[in-house]
Amino acid sequence: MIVVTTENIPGYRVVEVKGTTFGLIVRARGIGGDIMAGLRSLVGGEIKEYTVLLEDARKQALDRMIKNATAMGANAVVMCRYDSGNMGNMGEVVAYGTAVVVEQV
Amino acid sequence: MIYIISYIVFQILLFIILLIISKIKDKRLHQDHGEIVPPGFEPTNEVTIDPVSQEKRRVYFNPKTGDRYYKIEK
Repeated sequence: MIVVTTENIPGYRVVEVKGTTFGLIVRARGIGGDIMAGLRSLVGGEIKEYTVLLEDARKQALDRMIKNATAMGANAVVMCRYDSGNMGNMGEVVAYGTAVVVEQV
Repeated sequence: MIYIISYIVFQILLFIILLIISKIKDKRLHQDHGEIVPPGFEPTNEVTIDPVSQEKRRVYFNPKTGDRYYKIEK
Protein backbone atom coordinates (compact mmCIF):
# COMPACT_ATOMS: atom_id res chain seq x y z
CA MET A 1 0.00 0.00 0.00
CA ILE A 2 1.49 3.31 -1.10
CA VAL A 3 0.39 6.26 1.02
CA VAL A 4 1.38 9.74 -0.07
CA THR A 5 0.41 13.29 0.78
CA THR A 6 0.79 14.35 -2.83
CA GLU A 7 -1.78 14.21 -5.62
CA ASN A 8 0.31 11.99 -7.87
CA ILE A 9 2.80 9.21 -7.31
CA PRO A 10 5.92 9.47 -9.49
CA GLY A 11 6.27 6.37 -11.68
CA TYR A 12 2.63 5.40 -11.24
CA ARG A 13 -0.63 6.40 -12.84
CA VAL A 14 -4.06 6.35 -11.25
CA VAL A 15 -6.35 3.95 -13.11
CA GLU A 16 -9.31 3.97 -10.71
CA VAL A 17 -10.55 6.12 -7.86
CA LYS A 18 -12.26 4.07 -5.17
CA GLY A 19 -13.32 6.99 -3.02
CA THR A 20 -12.50 8.63 0.29
CA THR A 21 -11.02 6.48 3.00
CA PHE A 22 -10.98 7.37 6.71
CA GLY A 23 -9.39 6.13 9.89
CA LEU A 24 -10.73 7.57 13.13
CA ILE A 25 -9.65 7.02 16.71
CA VAL A 26 -10.38 8.60 20.08
CA ARG A 27 -7.90 7.66 22.80
CA ALA A 28 -7.42 8.60 26.44
CA ARG A 29 -4.75 8.03 29.06
CA GLY A 30 -5.68 6.30 32.27
CA ILE A 31 -6.02 8.09 35.58
CA GLY A 32 -2.33 7.43 36.35
CA GLY A 33 -1.17 9.07 33.12
CA ASP A 34 -3.53 12.00 33.57
CA ILE A 35 -2.28 12.66 37.11
CA MET A 36 1.36 12.52 35.95
CA ALA A 37 0.54 14.83 33.02
CA GLY A 38 -1.19 17.25 35.41
CA LEU A 39 1.84 17.32 37.69
CA ARG A 40 4.19 17.78 34.72
CA SER A 41 2.12 20.68 33.41
CA LEU A 42 2.78 22.54 36.70
CA VAL A 43 6.48 22.76 35.95
CA GLY A 44 6.27 23.00 32.15
CA GLY A 45 8.17 21.19 29.42
CA GLU A 46 7.04 18.31 27.26
CA ILE A 47 4.04 16.40 28.55
CA LYS A 48 5.26 12.94 27.57
CA GLU A 49 2.05 11.20 28.63
CA TYR A 50 0.09 13.18 26.03
CA THR A 51 2.83 12.89 23.40
CA VAL A 52 2.45 9.12 23.76
CA LEU A 53 -1.33 9.46 23.56
CA LEU A 54 -1.24 11.44 20.31
CA GLU A 55 1.53 9.38 18.69
CA ASP A 56 -0.44 6.18 19.33
CA ALA A 57 -3.63 7.84 18.08
CA ARG A 58 -1.86 8.95 14.89
CA LYS A 59 -0.56 5.44 14.24
CA GLN A 60 -3.92 3.82 14.92
CA ALA A 61 -5.76 6.31 12.69
CA LEU A 62 -3.31 5.57 9.85
CA ASP A 63 -3.63 1.81 10.40
CA ARG A 64 -7.41 2.06 10.20
CA MET A 65 -7.35 4.26 7.11
CA ILE A 66 -5.09 1.79 5.29
CA LYS A 67 -7.22 -1.17 6.41
CA ASN A 68 -10.32 0.59 5.04
CA ALA A 69 -8.53 1.40 1.77
CA THR A 70 -7.52 -2.26 1.43
CA ALA A 71 -11.13 -3.32 2.03
CA MET A 72 -12.18 -0.93 -0.75
CA GLY A 73 -9.83 -2.72 -3.16
CA ALA A 74 -7.32 0.12 -3.42
CA ASN A 75 -3.58 -0.34 -3.59
CA ALA A 76 -2.66 3.27 -2.78
CA VAL A 77 -3.91 6.33 -0.91
CA VAL A 78 -3.18 9.79 -2.29
CA MET A 79 -3.67 13.20 -0.66
CA CYS A 80 -3.40 11.67 2.81
CA ARG A 81 -4.14 14.16 5.59
CA TYR A 82 -4.46 14.18 9.37
CA ASP A 83 -6.83 16.14 11.52
CA SER A 84 -7.05 16.23 15.29
CA GLY A 85 -9.16 17.51 18.10
CA ASN A 86 -9.70 17.00 21.77
CA MET A 87 -12.54 16.26 24.13
CA GLY A 88 -11.40 16.98 27.65
CA ASN A 89 -8.49 14.66 28.31
CA MET A 90 -9.22 12.53 25.24
CA GLY A 91 -7.43 12.98 21.94
CA GLU A 92 -9.10 12.42 18.59
CA VAL A 93 -7.18 11.90 15.35
CA VAL A 94 -8.60 11.24 11.91
CA ALA A 95 -6.50 10.23 8.92
CA TYR A 96 -8.13 10.53 5.55
CA GLY A 97 -7.24 10.40 1.89
CA THR A 98 -8.38 9.18 -1.51
CA ALA A 99 -8.21 5.45 -2.06
CA VAL A 100 -7.02 4.71 -5.59
CA VAL A 101 -5.80 1.88 -7.77
CA VAL A 102 -2.46 2.68 -9.37
CA GLU A 103 -0.29 0.88 -11.86
CA GLN A 104 3.33 1.40 -12.78
CA VAL A 105 3.96 3.45 -15.90
CA MET B 1 -17.84 10.15 62.51
CA ILE B 2 -17.71 6.51 61.44
CA TYR B 3 -19.57 7.44 58.24
CA ILE B 4 -17.01 10.09 57.34
CA ILE B 5 -14.10 7.70 57.88
CA SER B 6 -15.90 4.99 55.87
CA TYR B 7 -16.49 7.47 53.07
CA ILE B 8 -12.81 8.51 52.97
CA VAL B 9 -11.63 4.88 53.07
CA PHE B 10 -14.06 4.04 50.26
CA GLN B 11 -12.78 6.94 48.16
CA ILE B 12 -9.15 5.90 48.69
CA LEU B 13 -9.95 2.28 47.82
CA LEU B 14 -11.82 3.39 44.70
CA PHE B 15 -8.85 5.55 43.67
CA ILE B 16 -6.40 2.66 44.16
CA ILE B 17 -8.64 0.29 42.15
CA LEU B 18 -8.86 2.84 39.33
CA LEU B 19 -5.07 3.25 39.38
CA ILE B 20 -4.59 -0.53 39.12
CA ILE B 21 -7.11 -0.84 36.26
CA SER B 22 -5.45 2.13 34.52
CA LYS B 23 -2.04 0.45 34.87
CA ILE B 24 -3.39 -2.75 33.30
CA LYS B 25 -5.46 -1.17 30.52
CA ASP B 26 -3.36 1.85 29.53
CA LYS B 27 -0.85 0.10 27.27
CA ARG B 28 1.07 1.49 24.33
CA LEU B 29 -0.33 0.74 20.91
CA HIS B 30 1.41 -2.21 19.16
CA GLN B 31 3.20 -3.10 22.37
CA ASP B 32 2.71 -6.72 21.34
CA HIS B 33 4.64 -6.15 18.10
CA GLY B 34 8.20 -7.40 18.44
CA GLU B 35 11.07 -8.54 16.25
CA ILE B 36 9.38 -11.59 14.70
CA VAL B 37 7.17 -10.63 11.77
CA PRO B 38 4.16 -12.94 11.24
CA PRO B 39 3.83 -14.67 7.85
CA GLY B 40 2.12 -12.79 5.02
CA PHE B 41 3.62 -9.39 5.87
CA GLU B 42 5.85 -7.50 3.43
CA PRO B 43 8.41 -4.86 4.40
CA THR B 44 7.75 -1.22 3.52
CA ASN B 45 10.02 1.83 3.54
CA GLU B 46 8.00 3.35 6.38
CA VAL B 47 10.00 3.77 9.57
CA THR B 48 8.84 5.45 12.75
CA ILE B 49 10.93 6.58 15.68
CA ASP B 50 8.89 6.83 18.85
CA PRO B 51 9.08 10.39 20.23
CA VAL B 52 9.28 9.19 23.84
CA SER B 53 10.99 5.78 23.88
CA GLN B 54 13.14 6.56 20.77
CA GLU B 55 12.39 3.01 19.61
CA LYS B 56 12.78 2.53 15.85
CA ARG B 57 10.11 0.44 14.15
CA ARG B 58 9.77 -0.58 10.52
CA VAL B 59 6.27 -1.11 9.17
CA TYR B 60 5.35 -4.41 7.52
CA PHE B 61 2.14 -4.61 5.51
CA ASN B 62 -0.20 -7.51 4.80
CA PRO B 63 -1.78 -6.81 1.37
CA LYS B 64 -4.55 -9.39 1.91
CA THR B 65 -5.91 -8.09 5.21
CA GLY B 66 -4.60 -4.51 5.23
CA ASP B 67 -3.01 -5.07 8.66
CA ARG B 68 0.25 -3.42 9.58
CA TYR B 69 2.99 -4.83 11.80
CA TYR B 70 5.53 -2.60 13.54
CA LYS B 71 8.80 -4.52 13.77
CA ILE B 72 11.34 -3.26 16.29
CA GLU B 73 14.67 -2.50 14.62
CA LYS B 74 17.95 -2.08 16.44
